[in-house]
Amino acid sequence: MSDLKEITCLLPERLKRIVETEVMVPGKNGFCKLSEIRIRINRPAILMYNNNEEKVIENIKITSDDIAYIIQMVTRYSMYAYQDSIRQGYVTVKGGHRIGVAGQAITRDGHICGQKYISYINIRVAHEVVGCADEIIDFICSGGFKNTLVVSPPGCGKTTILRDIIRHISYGIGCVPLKVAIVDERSEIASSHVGIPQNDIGIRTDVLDMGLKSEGMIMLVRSMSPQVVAVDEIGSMEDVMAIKQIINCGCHILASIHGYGIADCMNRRELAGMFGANGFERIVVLSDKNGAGTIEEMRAVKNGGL
Amino acid sequence: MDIIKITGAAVVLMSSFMLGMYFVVVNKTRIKNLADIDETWRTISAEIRFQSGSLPEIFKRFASHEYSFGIKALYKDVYENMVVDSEKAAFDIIWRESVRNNASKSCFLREDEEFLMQFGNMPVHLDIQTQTDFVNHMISMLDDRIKKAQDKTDSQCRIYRCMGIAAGVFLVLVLI
Repeated sequence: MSDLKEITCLLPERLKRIVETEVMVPGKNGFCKLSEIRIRINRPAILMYNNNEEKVIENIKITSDDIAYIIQMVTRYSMYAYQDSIRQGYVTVKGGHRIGVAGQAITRDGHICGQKYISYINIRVAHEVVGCADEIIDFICSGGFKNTLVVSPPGCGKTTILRDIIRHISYGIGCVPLKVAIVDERSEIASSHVGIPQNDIGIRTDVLDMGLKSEGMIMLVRSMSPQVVAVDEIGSMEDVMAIKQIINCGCHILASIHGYGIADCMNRRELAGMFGANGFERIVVLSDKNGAGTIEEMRAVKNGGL
Repeated sequence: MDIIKITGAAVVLMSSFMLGMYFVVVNKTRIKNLADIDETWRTISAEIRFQSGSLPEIFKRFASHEYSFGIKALYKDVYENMVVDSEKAAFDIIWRESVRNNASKSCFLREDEEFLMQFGNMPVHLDIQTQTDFVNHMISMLDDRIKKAQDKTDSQCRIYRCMGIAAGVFLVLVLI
């Protein structure tokens, strides 16, 4: 469970005081609604809330020293040890919060291999929503776990619901407990910090943190003998090939994908032949109609049709 | 009476020799302390280049390594200030404060202390290349400092010893 201190300990004293005041004062948007803290050099910091409200902290102009301080705290004074994360544009800190960074890209052979002079920081506050998958667990687990695809547009709670499904099947809440392996390519599901998951992902779950999905899935099937492999945001042909391979190995798959509905997914060329008995048997569609994580539709797929 | 004079002369000779030796030991210890710092900075440079452990972990290792007492105390202090849960300071502040607090535990000169403090300017928030360039620059300056101290010590060691004995002999002659 995340708390305010995990965020404020990363901030310079003057900013820390303001943030604490803003999110702790009764009657204002509380910490549970805080979604992002935007920090930009020579600009005021902005607090953003889940309800799309924002608070511009006009009386504080962010300096390069402030940015340097935050980077030191985020990387534990060791930016060099976080080069892989920095190259990808974010660092996950204790509590599962994700610190997005942008500055001057360092390129080698035409590819970005790092960043320096970081001037923009986005602190994305992690809020684990335990129990958000309660109403779909029966649908995907009755009569044994079914290969499941969670579909939603960005920002509608795909990862959050995926994490809660993992928690259910790993603990055996509302279903038979199963061994789960997560390929957490962007550290979003388990939000591991120095190898320790910051979110509750159950007692029968193994995590390959920051590993490439397509390679990681095969690797985990060999090394950890899971019953369910979970991945977030599949999309490439390599991902789909790896999923076919692990289904052929007798493992189940739990995945999410960006999309705007069932038809949108089924018409994708890379997902052709991935629905039915030898592919995804359950599809859950999310939207933000009634807030992020609204379950829009749940469909069972049989032999390539709905 | 003669026995007292001879004993006094011997004591004076011995203490002046010891004084000369003291200066020699202080100089040599200073060089040893600087060499220890040099070794730790070379390790830091390598660790940054190969993206190994974090700086606090490296400093913790130094604190338990077989370096001089003052150097271990310095790194222990830096490590503890880096990992304290609340009210963490930026690296430059932690480093300077620790050098200031622990300089007396080593045989550094005032100018050494000021030089060591410059290491706090290490750009720990920048990329690997910038950090290693900085550390390597500091190492080359430290090497120069050690070489100068070494040359100075070699030439002065004999002088200190001779002067100590000569001063002792002079006093003995005066006393007798």
